[in-house]
This record gives sequence, C-alpha cells and structure tokens, in this order.
Amino acid sequence: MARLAFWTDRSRPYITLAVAVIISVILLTMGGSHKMIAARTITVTVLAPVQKGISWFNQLGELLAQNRRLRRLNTELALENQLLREAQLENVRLRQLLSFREREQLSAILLAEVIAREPDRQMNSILIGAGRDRGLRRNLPVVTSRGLVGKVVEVFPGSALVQLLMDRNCPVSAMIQRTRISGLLSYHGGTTFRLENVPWRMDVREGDEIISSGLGGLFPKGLRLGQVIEVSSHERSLFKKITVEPSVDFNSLEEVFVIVQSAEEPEEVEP
Amino acid sequence: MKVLRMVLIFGVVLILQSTLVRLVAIEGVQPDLIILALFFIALLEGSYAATIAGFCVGLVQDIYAPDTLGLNALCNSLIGFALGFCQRGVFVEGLIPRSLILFAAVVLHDLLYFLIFLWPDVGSGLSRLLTVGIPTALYTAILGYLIFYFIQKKKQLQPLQEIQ
Repeated sequence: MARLAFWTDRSRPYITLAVAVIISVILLTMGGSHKMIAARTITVTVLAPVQKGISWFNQLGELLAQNRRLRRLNTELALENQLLREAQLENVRLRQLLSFREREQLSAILLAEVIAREPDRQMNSILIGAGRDRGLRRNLPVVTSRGLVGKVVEVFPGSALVQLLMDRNCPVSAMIQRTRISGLLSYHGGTTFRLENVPWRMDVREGDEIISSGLGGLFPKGLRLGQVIEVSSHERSLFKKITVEPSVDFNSLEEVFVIVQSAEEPEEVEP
Repeated sequence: MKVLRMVLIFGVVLILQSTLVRLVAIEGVQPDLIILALFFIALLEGSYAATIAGFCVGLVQDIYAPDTLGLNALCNSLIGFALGFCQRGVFVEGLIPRSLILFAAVVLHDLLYFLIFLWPDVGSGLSRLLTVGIPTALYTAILGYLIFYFIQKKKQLQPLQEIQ
C-alpha cells in the first residue's frame, strides 16, 4: 500500500501531463460544439468588462493625437465626399442607361472599439466592444477605412469575437480590380496572403489591387483586401503563385466597423 | 489559498497580455508574460502545479481562438511540465541559466504551436518561429533576467534591513 502511494506520488506529474495532453487533443479535434461555445460565452463575458476598462485607460493618452488626426481626416473626407457625390450621380445616370441592376445598399455600419486581442502572438481574432446588445450577429463583415478585417464568429451580450483574415480558416472570394479575374485569398502564415486558383495564363501584375468579389455571399463586393507584391508561375503548375500584401494593418486595429446587412444571414463559406 | 493565488496571477497576466503588453512592443515583438508566469510557478511549485496551470491558462487563451481550441492548452501544459522538470532535475540558480531556460521555453512553445497550427506547411511554421518566436523568446528572456535580478537584489537587501 505504501509502495503504491509512493508510486502514485512520484508519477503524479506524468499522469497530470498525460491527462492534459489527452484533453487538449480531444478539444483540438472537437471544434466548436455547443458546450464549448457556452464555455466561451461565459469566460468572455466575465473578462470583457475588465479588458474594456483597461483599454479605456490605455486609450486616454492617445485621444488628443487621435482627435487632431480625425479633424484633418474629416476635412479631407468632406472634400472627397463632394467629389464622390458627383461620381455617384454620374454612376446612377450611366447605370440607368445600361439598365444595370441597382446594387443592394448596406443598411448600416456600426462602430466598435477593439477591447482585446487574442492573448497569443498568432492574432487570429480580436474582441470588439459591441455585441448582441447592439444587434450584432454571426458572419457579419468587419472592416476599417483601409479594407476588410474579418467576420464576426461569436456574439456575446456586450462584445463579439471577430475572426481576422489572418486566419487560415477565413478565406475570401477575391478578384483583381483591374482585370476582374477571380481567385481565393487566404492566409498561409507570415505577414502576406496568397491569391489562389488564378490560372497561369491570366494577366496579373505587381501593384494590382485585390478586392472582394462578393461570390462567397459573406462579404460584400468591392471591399479592399490588398495589393499584389509578387507574381510567379511554375512550368508544372496550372496556377500562378500570387503574393498579396494586406491593406489592413492587423497589429494596429483600434476601431472597426461592422457592416450590418439588411439581407438574411448568409451561409458560411467552407474553407 | 495557493490555487486562488495562481488564478489571480494568471487572470492579471492574461488581461495584461491581451491589452497593455502591446504598449511595450518593439517592432511588433511582445514579451510572453504567460510563459514567464509559468516559469515562476514551475520554480516555486514544481512540474505538477506548472502542468495544471499551463493547461488551464492555455484553455483560457484558446477561448479567443476561433478554430484552435486546445492548442494553447497542449503547448502550455507541455512547457509547464518541462519547466517544472528542469527546476527539479537541473540546479538552476544563476540569472543567466534561468534566462536561458526561459528563452528555450518560449522557443519550444512556439515551435510546437506554429508547427501544429500551420501543419502541414512546415516551412511557414519554421519561418514564423524565426520571425516571431525567437525575437519574442529573446524579449521574454531579457524581461525575465531583469525580474530575477530585482528579486535577487531584494533578497540580498532584506537581511541588511533587518539588521538596521
């Protein structure tokens, strides 16, 4: 009996490690079951107010500089807005002429501040300070003025978890703005993205702008995604290898906009 | 009481890691406070406590990851166990050996994390290790060195203060 107790005591760290590893592997293979989503909701709801408070203090120091920057931006945007109004009127006239179908208008965009980042260095997700209380729901696109950021994957009472495009499981149907060639933009590690499924014969150049194509049904058409920085094609490959630099700086996200669409929640795109 | 203290420590560390740590980032490189805290738990409580702490804190980290639930729990429990084993098996007293172990712990953690996360793209995993893992490990080791140094100084000063 004494020997058994001695053995158990000595093996305790090993047994604990084995149990921890087994549970972790099970969790890794389980994915997002309902129980896991419930556990996630509880933990994020408990931690979010504290993170929100700290973020608020953190942002106080930046407010002055931000205010100055926003005033300047406001003036610039007001001028740009005048030009765009002219362009919009012209666009309406041309569309009527060509009998184009009016594109669906976005019903609203909602400003939300980033209150926490994923506490590891991978940066696959951020927590924003708007949730079910402000009408958010899953799969809504999240953007900044520079382009598409990601999509809402979990909604909590006062916050929401946003899956960034810098996640391998968040591909976007994209197209090259200049030539309208479609492809699939996805993250493969590092700081750049790859535009895949573009046949090697197609005309793609460095500096080409990549925008969302709207084909997945999840993200609206025309949102900026990035710029082509490298194009190469191999003899044996049917497709080009296109490296894209994202237009959004995912490390400096402070505020984001959630596009609240009037249409019904679309189906999720399978990676 | 010990458990409560650990929960409190890791609660504070997690909140700091997800909010304020980016303020001390150098060229985007941030110290890993979670592994630093795990190192201290392993030093004070051994591998059993460090494994459990690593698993629990990893699980909370995983809550923020939409698709990799369990990955941080796996990496952190392995690192917690290894750190505890190191403290027991190797007599680590000096500041530099401790900092080196901390450096190795972050590198090992990131190697495991990036290889599993980016599997089967091993090249990207190793590239992330070089560009993110090693600078982070260096930053964490330097921060750890400073903390060990201050703790040691405080310990040296204590008897003097008692005499005075």
